[in-house]
Amino acid sequence: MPRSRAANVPSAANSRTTHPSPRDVEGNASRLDERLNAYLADLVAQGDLGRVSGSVETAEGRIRSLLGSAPDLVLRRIRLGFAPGRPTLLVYIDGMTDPDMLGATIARLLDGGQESSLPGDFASALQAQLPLGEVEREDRWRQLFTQLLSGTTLLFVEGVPAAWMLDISKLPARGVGRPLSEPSIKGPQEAFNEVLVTNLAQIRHRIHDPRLEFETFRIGSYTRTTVALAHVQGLTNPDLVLAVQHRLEAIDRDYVQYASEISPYLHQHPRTMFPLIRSTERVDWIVRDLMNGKVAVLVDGDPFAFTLPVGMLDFFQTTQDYIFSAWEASLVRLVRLVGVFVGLYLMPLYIALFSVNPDLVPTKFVLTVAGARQHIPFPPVMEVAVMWIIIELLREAANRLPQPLATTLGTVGAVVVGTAIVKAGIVDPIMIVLVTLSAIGLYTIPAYEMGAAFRWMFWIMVIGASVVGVYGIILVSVGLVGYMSALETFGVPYLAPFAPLLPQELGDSVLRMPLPWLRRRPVTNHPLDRQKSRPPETPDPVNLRDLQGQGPS
Amino acid sequence: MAVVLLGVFLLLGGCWDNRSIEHRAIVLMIGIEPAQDGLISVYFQVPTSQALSSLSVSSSPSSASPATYVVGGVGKTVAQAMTQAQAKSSGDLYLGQVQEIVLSSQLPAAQFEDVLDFLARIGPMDKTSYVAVSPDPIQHITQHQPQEGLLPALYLTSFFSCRHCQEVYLARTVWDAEQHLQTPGMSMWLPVLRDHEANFRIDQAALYRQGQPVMTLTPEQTVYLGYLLNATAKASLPFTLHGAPVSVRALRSRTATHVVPEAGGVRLVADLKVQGILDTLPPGEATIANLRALEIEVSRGIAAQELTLIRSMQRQGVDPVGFLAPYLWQHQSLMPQANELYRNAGVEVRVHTRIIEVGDVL
Repeated sequence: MPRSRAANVPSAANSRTTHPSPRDVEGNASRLDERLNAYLADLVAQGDLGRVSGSVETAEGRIRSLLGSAPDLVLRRIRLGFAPGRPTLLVYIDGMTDPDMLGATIARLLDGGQESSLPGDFASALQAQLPLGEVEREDRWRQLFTQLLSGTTLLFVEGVPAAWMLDISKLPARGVGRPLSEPSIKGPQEAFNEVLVTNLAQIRHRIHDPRLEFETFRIGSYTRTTVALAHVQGLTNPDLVLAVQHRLEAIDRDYVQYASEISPYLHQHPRTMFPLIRSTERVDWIVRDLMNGKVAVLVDGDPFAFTLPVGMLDFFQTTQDYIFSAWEASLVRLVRLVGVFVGLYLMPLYIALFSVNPDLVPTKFVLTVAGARQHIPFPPVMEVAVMWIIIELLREAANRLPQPLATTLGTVGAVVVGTAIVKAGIVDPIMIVLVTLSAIGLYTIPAYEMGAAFRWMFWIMVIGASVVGVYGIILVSVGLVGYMSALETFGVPYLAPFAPLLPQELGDSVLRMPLPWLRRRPVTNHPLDRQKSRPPETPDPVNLRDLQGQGPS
Repeated sequence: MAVVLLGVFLLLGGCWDNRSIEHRAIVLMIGIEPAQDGLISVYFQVPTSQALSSLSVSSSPSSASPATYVVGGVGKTVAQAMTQAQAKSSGDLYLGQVQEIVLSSQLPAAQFEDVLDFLARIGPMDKTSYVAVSPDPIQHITQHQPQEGLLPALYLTSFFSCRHCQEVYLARTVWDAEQHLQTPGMSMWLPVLRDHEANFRIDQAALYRQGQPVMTLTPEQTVYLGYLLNATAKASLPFTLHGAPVSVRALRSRTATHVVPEAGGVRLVADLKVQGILDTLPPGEATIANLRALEIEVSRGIAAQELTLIRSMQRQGVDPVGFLAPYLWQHQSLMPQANELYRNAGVEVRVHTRIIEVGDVL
């Protein structure tokens, strides 16, 4: 029976104030004794503490000494059908193993003829008895423990100084769902989930080419989280792949749960407020980026993957842009651009024009605003602060609530608070219009992470506007553009293709030209093969013009 | 370093002087007239809070309460008068939205130049504010409420900003006035603003010589001056064809002027290309030959009127058209005798008229 650790180990708080009881000391000493015995057995048999000795008893003792208190650990002694004289131990984590596959495996092991009737040595014989699937032999304890805790079933057989790792894991996971954070009207509706193997399969399902490569890393000294690096050989620049590999290997963390925990280690500007990595849960987005010569990084347990390198424009594009016609996609992109400008500049301009530079506003507009603000007790900057805080509160509250309640909260909050605050004379009605437009404008940015950066920029802009008016807005804008033009990831300028100006890349920037015109991959990614599509080498039999001059004259 | 820069930015940014728009008394019109003992009276027209509130909720201001109030001050200079007026207003008199400046035609030349100099030096004031001159009491003009229900300054802004709405486009901005005042060989002119029944009346021009109005044109003369200035948009003139009255409307011209040197002086040449619409012709008279005859008749009539106008302006020594300005620019040595040169110059007016449309006849 596994014992509860909590019963024996005093809490950290208690240990500071009370001394362990004699009973606790006795229990700890007993466990230490067990562990030492198991280690000594391996050391005597193999001459190496880190390798399996071949004794099932020792293996069980060692596993129990390390994981014995785990309630989901299952150690099961079985008798092999073809070698009943060899004690055998099956070890797995309950809940991470497919029970059907486990049952089938045990059935096959219990079954079988005599050991002597099987061809080859015992190891080969056992291998032949195991079910189809991934089976590996391993003798290093560190690897075995990592695999065991990842859902792999271990099989120890007396006399064999190694264990078989049977991949019959079935990790708890939800099905493939819709990309809730990046919905699309048309096109694929497939999102990643928390299981890395599923995510890799989803990518593989779309790129049927052996040049699609995955490389895995284990990051996190405790979590040993699997991180996969994907790229397409022959497209992606090997220098980029090498750089990402090195940076992934250099990550020193005790645990990793999210892809966003890894991303700051992969670029040179971890303190910047602008996102330098575009994360997505859309499979088609990752595939598109891979085909453009980028690398993708996927983390086991996180349905959000990210691609590298990225520029500013990547955060304003969606897969929908490539599903619709060029006209529609270009229009949508322009709308997003307008949305950003409205979100970023509308309220700072209001502050600047009606607090500092009213001489720049048409007279009728000045009079209208002055009339609306007759009895408002606060200056415009305070109004903006009040309204924006309300918007942020509503947004944050809506994030924490279930969807139906969030919608209600948003509607009721906006209408009730908006109406009440105007009637109370705290803000003027024009401010309500401006706040609404600004909020909507900033939320047109497809990438959530970029929206947060622009919300910060908004406040810097507001401060600049309230201090020196329009001049302040210009000053902050110049600083902003200067700062962004200095950013780069893996050699890709953040503001490309505008700074530096790359005319050949402009076809897929603010506007999106028809897809047949976009024949080249972005030069900023330095792909090995820039040509996206090549002209057909053989004449098209349907196109009569190709056949002209080939027939009898 | 960053803290120092931020501190300097905040201290020198001028943000401490910023006042939100509702704390400013938005001056829409300034009226200036001479007061007793060589002083100047300045009137500032400001919209009332009721008028502003009605604007924000898209309703017309109540006729019971005035849409504007006037704050005035008297002083040796405009600045002094403004300081006195500021003491009578709870809000900061803000000149960044001044739409109209009305100057009294009684302002002496010295005060007039002082006023223009002051207006040019006020930082926030827009140099594109319209300027007009009025022989009426300025306080009365600034308190006038137009019948259309608009704020007075907005009424005048609408009037002056529409180039093709009026018979003659008479809008003059501070910028124009200063430019004409400073340009050799050119005289300043301003539209005359009169209080007329329920609205303003603006159909005359006052011609200035060295800051002093010396000639106020009649409405008809103003139309002919408009032809010379390319400012007449839709004049209508009566003529006769074979003794029958006919009317040519929407008359407008493209005028080019130049100077031809002659023995002992210069000749001023105005070349007008006029076009208009003939309302109608008497029955049986609608022939090409009659149209040509009418075009010649119109050309002669306009040429005669223009000649008379230019002669009268020569006698007064005012040249709002700027006949001589380009010539003097090329012959700087003639600057000192520019006035004499202009007065004694010969005049030639060439008018070519074309009827582009004939009412409902053809």
